Amino acid sequence: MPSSFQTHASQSYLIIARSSPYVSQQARAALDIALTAAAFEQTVSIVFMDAGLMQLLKGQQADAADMKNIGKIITALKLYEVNRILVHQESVDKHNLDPAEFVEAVEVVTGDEIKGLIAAADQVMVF
Amino acid sequence: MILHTINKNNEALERCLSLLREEDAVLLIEDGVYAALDSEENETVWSNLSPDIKKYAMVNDLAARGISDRMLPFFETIDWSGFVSLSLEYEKVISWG
Repeated sequence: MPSSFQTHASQSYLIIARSSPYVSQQARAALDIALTAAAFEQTVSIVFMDAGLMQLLKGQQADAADMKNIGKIITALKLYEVNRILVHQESVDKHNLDPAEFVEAVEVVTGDEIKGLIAAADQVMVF
Repeated sequence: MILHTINKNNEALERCLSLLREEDAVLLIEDGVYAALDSEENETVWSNLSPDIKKYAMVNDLAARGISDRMLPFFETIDWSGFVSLSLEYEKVISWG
């Protein structure tokens, strides 16, 4: 099968999710790629920052927007073995959010730590 | 060593710039080239960035928007084949939208 996922050694992916849910397909696309890459046994980390943090809020009533619940998809990431779920400290502070109240347990990382993750990953995708 | 491409002049640019390392480069394409326009606000943004970070702007996109002669001096202009060369020179390319 001519799939690069199958013919190449495992790669590391860093997905940067900085789009709010429900206004476009960007948030959903980031999660779909994270889940797909993890299903093909790639090493996947996802970092939420800026408006992307809004994907993590509890109590999303997606049927009001006629869309799938982004918060529920996020709770599937660990099941599909997405390795790390991270949030950007400065974005959390700016929006006055409490990571303990997100839909999923997350690691809080600084911008400097994210710079290191970006440099270390084989592939970085921004949504 | 990462080549960061930016195709809009919005807060994605701001975020990208906050995550750059000194060995990285920035390439403005499409509406991203408006960030190269000679204004006080843009000048502050680019002069606060390390001079070690290389800054490029796509010549076709500047010309299309009529801003080739109104650019800040921080940028080297490149064409499509220059873009191809840069993407080979750097370890990876990250597209910020």
